[in-house]
Amino acid sequence: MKLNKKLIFNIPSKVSEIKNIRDQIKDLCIENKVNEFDVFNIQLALDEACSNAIEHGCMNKPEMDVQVIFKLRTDEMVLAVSDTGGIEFNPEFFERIATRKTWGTGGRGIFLLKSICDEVTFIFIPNKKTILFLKKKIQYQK
Amino acid sequence: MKVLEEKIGNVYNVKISGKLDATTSGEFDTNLTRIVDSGEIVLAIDFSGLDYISSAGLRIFLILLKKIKKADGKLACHSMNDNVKEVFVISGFSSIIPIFPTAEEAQSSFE
Repeated sequence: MKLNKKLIFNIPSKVSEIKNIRDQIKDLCIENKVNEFDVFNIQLALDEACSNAIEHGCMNKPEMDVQVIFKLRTDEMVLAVSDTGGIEFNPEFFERIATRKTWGTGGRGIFLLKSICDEVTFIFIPNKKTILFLKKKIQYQK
Repeated sequence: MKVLEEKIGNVYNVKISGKLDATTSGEFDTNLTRIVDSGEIVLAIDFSGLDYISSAGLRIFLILLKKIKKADGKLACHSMNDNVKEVFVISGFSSIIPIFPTAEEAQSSFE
């Protein structure tokens, strides 16, 4: 049977808002019998993408907005997180920081996203918005 | 998130439960800073009750490790579930933070 479920959230740019979205996406995944390991990684991807949008895209300004679109399909999940900060940055730079042996505290989120997702794409519209698209193949419980 | 603390011999045991993410990591960081600043620099962290960690949580362990190394102390993490352990592995943290399957093995690493 073909699966195509979608959730849309619009939140103020506050990290305390992430938990509610994470819980709802987790519930949808469990309801649809997504494999436990994939449920964990979907939550992690959501967390990292939202934290990135709130902390770096919107600079923790709660008056700015973050939109999250989550799609659960037959063989994959798609996550689009957009923020209205419009701040351009180079994700490869932060990823490189994360892999350096000096072990600075930055860049882990992007590094994790690239490790757990099959596709990670940033779209920048300078001074308007940043959209992060994530895709990940998923498996379901038998 | 819940934190339980107990000192056995010279080892300070910290048990964390719940989820360690951008919302809860600040509170956990405050707890660990208080512990290390009070002179407890041999730490065993019990992950058995922790069911989720994000990079915000990982960051706290990186800061903790730096503080403990600077004070010439020791750190051992143990009893992680498979999902949490995988986050440590893919982030590369498992190569810098000692992780043990059980509390007993973590304790032995201090001897």
